[in-house]
Amino acid sequence: MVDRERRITRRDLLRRAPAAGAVGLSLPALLAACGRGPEQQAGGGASPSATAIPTGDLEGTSIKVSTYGGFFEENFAAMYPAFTKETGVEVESVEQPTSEVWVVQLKQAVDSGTPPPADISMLSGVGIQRAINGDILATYDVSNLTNADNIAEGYIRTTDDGLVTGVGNVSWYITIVSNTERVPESPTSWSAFWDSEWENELALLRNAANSYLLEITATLYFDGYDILDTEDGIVEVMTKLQEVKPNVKLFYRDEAQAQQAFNTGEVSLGQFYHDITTFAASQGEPLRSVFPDEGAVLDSGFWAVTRTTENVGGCVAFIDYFCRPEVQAELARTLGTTPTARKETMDLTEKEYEAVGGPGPDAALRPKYEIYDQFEDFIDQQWTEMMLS
Amino acid sequence: MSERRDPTPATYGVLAIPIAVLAVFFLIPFGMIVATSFYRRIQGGFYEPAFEVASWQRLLSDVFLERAAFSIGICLLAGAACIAIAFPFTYFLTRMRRRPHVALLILVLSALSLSEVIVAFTWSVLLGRAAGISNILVWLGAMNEPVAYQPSFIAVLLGLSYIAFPYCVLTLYPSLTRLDREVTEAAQTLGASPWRTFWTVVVPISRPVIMAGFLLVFVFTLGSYLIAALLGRPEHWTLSVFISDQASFNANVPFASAMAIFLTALSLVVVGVVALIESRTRRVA
Repeated sequence: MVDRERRITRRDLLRRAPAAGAVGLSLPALLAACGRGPEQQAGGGASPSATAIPTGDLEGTSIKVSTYGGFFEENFAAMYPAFTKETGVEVESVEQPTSEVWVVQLKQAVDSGTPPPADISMLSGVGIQRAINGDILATYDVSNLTNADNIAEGYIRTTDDGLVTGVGNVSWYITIVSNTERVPESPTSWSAFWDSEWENELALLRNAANSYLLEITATLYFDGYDILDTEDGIVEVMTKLQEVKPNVKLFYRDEAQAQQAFNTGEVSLGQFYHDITTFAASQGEPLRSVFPDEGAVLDSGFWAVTRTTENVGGCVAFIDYFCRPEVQAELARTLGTTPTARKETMDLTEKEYEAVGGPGPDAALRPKYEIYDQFEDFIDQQWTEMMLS
Repeated sequence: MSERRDPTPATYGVLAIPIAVLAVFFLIPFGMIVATSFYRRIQGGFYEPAFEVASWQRLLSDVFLERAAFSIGICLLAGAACIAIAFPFTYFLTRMRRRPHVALLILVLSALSLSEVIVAFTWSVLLGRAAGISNILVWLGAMNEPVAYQPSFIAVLLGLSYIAFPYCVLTLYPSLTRLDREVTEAAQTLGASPWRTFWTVVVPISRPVIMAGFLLVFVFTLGSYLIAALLGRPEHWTLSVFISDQASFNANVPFASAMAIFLTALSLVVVGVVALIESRTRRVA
C-alpha cells in the first residue's frame, strides 16, 4: 500500500517549487563568482621564450587598452588619438575595475582561448606579479623599447632571463586624505589612525594587498619591514594593526564607494589616492591629501601585454610611446599621477613635480610585494580574522 | 473534472528541453565547481588541477564557520521580516479596488528593476549622516545633529529585506488573490472581527504559501553580497561577500568554490528542515 502521507503529489510539488527554485536562484551569482571550472589550467612561472615581435607595417591595426575606470580612463583615452595619428594603430579604451579582479578575467580568456578583454592592461604591482605567476603575459626584449632609457630604475619588470613583462607607466601615492569640513587640520602621521579621537571616522582599503597597512604599521611601530619576513612577525604586526579597528567606519574595495564617503563627510579621515583626491579638490570637493611624515605609499601601474594578443607589435609600439618624456609629463599634468620617467628627462617644473609627487619617491614607503606572493593565503586568513575580531 | 492521461511522447519532448537546459547550465557548471574546490591553490598565482582538501580544511576554520552561521541567521531574519510586512500588505492589496490595487502592484514590482548596486548605494546615502534621514529629524528639531545608521546590522537587514520584498509579494499574490471571500465572510458572520478573521482564518489557510515566500527570501538573500558589503561592517558581512572576495580579488577559486558549495548545501538543509517542520505541524494540526 502506498503511504498517502508520504507520496508527493503534483500540488505538493507546485507548492514547494518556489522554495526549490529559490535555491537555484542564488546559484548563478555563486557560479559567476567562481568562474571557470575543470578545464582551466594554471601555470607557474613566466613564459621562457620571448614573444616574437612582427616588424611589419602597423598602419590600420588596432589594440584594446585597459586602464582603471572613471576619470583615469577618460584621461588616458584622450591621449590615444595622438598615438594613432603617429603610428596608424587604432586604440580602443576599456575600463577595468581593479588589477586583481582584471587579472582573473585575463587568465580566464587566455585559458579558454577566447580573445582577451584587453591586449594591454595597466596592472598594479600585486596584479602584475599574479599575472606573471599565472603565465598570461607576453614577454619581449627590452631593445624593442627605444624610449626605455627614460624610465627610472625599478620600473621595468623582467623575467629571470631579462625579458620584459611590464613597464611602469604611472605611479600613485596612497596618502592621508581628509574631508576639510570635518577635519580643520589634517594629521601628518599615519599614527593618527591609532588615535581614539577618530573613533568610527576612518576609511581604509579592505585588503592587505592593496592597503599596504602592514607596511605602514611595520614602519611606524617595528622599525621597518624586517618583521614582515616571517609569519610570526606578520601576526605581531597584524595584532598592532587590530587596534585601529574601532576607528574604522568603512573598509572599502571600490574607489567610488570611498570617494563618495570622503566627499560627503560620511567618513572624516583615511587612506586614499593622492591623484584622485587632488583632482576632486580642484573640482570643488572639500578634500585634502597630505603626504605623511613616514612617507606615503607608492604603488605603480605597469603596462602588461596579454600573451594571446594578435597585435603584439602594436602593443609594444604603444608602450614605447608612453615611455616618452613629453607623454609622461602630460600624464602628470592632466592626470596628476607621478611619472615613471626620470625627473631630468621631463620639462616639469619643481612646483609641478611636487604637486604630483610630494617629497618624491625616495621618501615614500614601497610595498613589500614579495610577502603577498609568499604568504598570500596566510596573510589573507589573518587579515580576515583581524577584520572580524 | 478532467481525466488524467498518460504522458505522450510530445509531453516528454516538451520536458526534455528544460531538463537539458538545467543539465547543461546548472548541473555541469555545478560539477565543475565541485571539482574546482579540490584543486591546488598556487599562492600569488591561480590554481591547478589536483585533488586536495586544503580549501575545505580552511573553510572549517572558526572564522568562516561563524560567518556561515551568521549568514544563515541574518537571511532567516530577512525572510521573517519580509513575510511580516509582505503578507498583510499583499492581503490588503488583493482586497483593494482595482485601480489602486494595480497601481500599488506596479509600484512594488518596479522595485525589481533596480540593481543591487543602486539599492545598496541608495540605502547607504539614506542611512548616512551627510544626507540621510537623520537630517530630517534634525530639521524637525527631534535631534541635535545628524547621525549615521550605517554601517550596521540593521542597515544590512533592511537592505536585504528591501531587495527581497517584491519577490515575496509575488509569491504570496496568486494564492491570496484566489482566497475565497466567502471564507472570511463566514468568519465575520459568526462574529469574528476583521483582525481576528485575519489571524485565525487567513493566516492558517495561507501557511504553505507563507512558508514558500519565507524560504524564497531566505535563499535569495543568501546569494546577495553587495548589500552586506556596502551597508555592513566586516562583522556583518555574509559568506557571499567572502566568496566574491576570494574568487575575484584573491584569485583563490578553489576556496571560493568550497565556500559556495557549503553555502548551497547549508541552504538546502535549512529549506529541508523548515519544510519538514511545516509538514509535521500540518499533520498534527
